[in-house]
Amino acid sequence: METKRYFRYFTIADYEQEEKWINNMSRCGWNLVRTNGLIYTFEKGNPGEYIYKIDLPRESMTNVEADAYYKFMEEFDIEVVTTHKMWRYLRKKSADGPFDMPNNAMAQLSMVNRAYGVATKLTNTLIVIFALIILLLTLVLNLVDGVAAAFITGMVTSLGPSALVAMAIILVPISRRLRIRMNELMDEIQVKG
Amino acid sequence: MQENTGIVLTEAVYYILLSLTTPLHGYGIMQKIEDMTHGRLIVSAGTLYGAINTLLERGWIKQHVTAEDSRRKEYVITDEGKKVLKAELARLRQLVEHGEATLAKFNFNLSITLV
Repeated sequence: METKRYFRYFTIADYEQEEKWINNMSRCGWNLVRTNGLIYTFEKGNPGEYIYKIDLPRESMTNVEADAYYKFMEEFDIEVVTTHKMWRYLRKKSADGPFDMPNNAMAQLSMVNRAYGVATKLTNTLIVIFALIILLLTLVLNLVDGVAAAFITGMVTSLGPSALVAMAIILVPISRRLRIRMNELMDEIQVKG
Repeated sequence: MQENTGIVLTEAVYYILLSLTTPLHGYGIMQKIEDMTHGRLIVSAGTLYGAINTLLERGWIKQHVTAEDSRRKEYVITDEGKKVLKAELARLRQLVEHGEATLAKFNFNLSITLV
């Protein structure tokens, strides 16, 4: 089977662009089969045979519930092609019709909300990891002296804050964009019902 | 005055409840809604899954147990669900009445100014 590999990076807030790109590839006869979030592997197929959709299970879902959810999808001939972390790459035959009504604001809002949940979880996890590293280094600091102590002090005072700033520069705008999108969709729902 | 439950159903939920007046499985619900609305409304698998769980929790629908062991779960509307559907129908009727009454008046006034 002829395959093609692409290197791409999409942030949490860019899953809609990612979906568009994958669907463009599919229209050209390249069907996504695998991804690890950076390398996307496509297999040669019939142009436009499949449509793809990126999905996330709800945060409240346990693994068993998520399995039941994707099992339910199978009834609609929707298959999970590949999974990367919580992200599920779904596809169905385009002849069977679209995944959803075009511009279904309620469904879009639900998806943005789930993506926002992923961003929040990531931010919280990183904060906890940094806090633990700083705590650990501070504890070690009490046990050593001299050059080692100076080195650790340097690490805690420079690396810790700069890592937090880097995180803020990357993750805060992602959360902000997702929040703005949620507000837009909520305004739309106010009008459309 | 009709019974006012204060509940406003989304279009998807309204049609899901309507379709479940006969027992159906997930895919069957989608097909029936598509038939009923002549393809105007297509309820996606994701929307349907969320709605079915919410409606089960509220007790408006329940799982339909058949003698034969079916691979796919079937659902059917409950008495509570029928009550909600009736109240929604009354609400929708009122919407139409208000709309027609207001527009009729508007047309009447318009015809006077034209004369």
